[in-house]
Amino acid sequence: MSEPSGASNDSALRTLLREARVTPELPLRFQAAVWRRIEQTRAARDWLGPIVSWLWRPRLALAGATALLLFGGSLGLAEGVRLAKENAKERYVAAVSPLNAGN
Amino acid sequence: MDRHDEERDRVDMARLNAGHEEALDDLMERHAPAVFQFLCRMLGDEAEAEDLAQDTFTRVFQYRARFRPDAKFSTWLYTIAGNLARNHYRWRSRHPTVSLENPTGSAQPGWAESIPAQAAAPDQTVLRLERAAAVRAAVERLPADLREAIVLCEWQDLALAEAAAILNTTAKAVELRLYRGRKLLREALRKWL
Repeated sequence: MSEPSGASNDSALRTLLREARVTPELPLRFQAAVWRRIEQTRAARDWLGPIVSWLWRPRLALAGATALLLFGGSLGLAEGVRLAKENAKERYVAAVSPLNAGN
Repeated sequence: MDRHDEERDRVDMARLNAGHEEALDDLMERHAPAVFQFLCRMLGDEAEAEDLAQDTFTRVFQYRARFRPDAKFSTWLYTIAGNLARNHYRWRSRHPTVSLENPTGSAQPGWAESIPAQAAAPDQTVLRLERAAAVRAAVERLPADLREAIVLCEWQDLALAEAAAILNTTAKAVELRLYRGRKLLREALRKWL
């Protein structure tokens, strides 16, 4: 099937696009709504700011990281001990099992 | 927008940075309608566009210190609005919804009235509205990068260079996106061409 000529097709498409262009009015009290948002952001920053800056202090951040490392390490250690116990139990059961006596 | 307006934008941004908050009202006075229309055309939803337009100006205020005085304010503004729209598409693609009033998800019914009216027979008017809705739906279905190029250059009447600056790419790349976008639109709107 042959394509219609590019230029005329392009101008027809442009006309269609122009016709379909919407130009809605800016809602009433738009600026007031923006200022309300700015105030909310400011209020949140006033409230959160001191907490965030307190948490970002180097000594506190180091203490937090150390606590997380210790917590992770102890969790890993506990899991390792539990797995080792389970393995030992399985090995013992396998060793004393009468089913394995012939082997 | 002429050089005089650009200069006024720069002066208002300088005032805003110096602590004169009323300068934001002047900037909104001049640019809010265009930003709102841009977002409506990008998202196809007035409520979402209003929300993001408000967010755009909130960010202008928050990040006012980052505006470079040698840059064009409208380009910076459209970049913020475009980024917000892009994030919104991503959010929308993860949270798809279907409107009860408008199950096709295409342009809102209320927008039909905003199309320039021409004295025409009722059946022609219906046809015109149907055609316009089909065009908007086709634009909405375009991949995000192609839709942005079409909206900026065809509906916002921006030059290639300005669209390129907003999309953080080259004019050649915008031209290519326009070409691909128009090609897809021609295929989608074959019935109306």
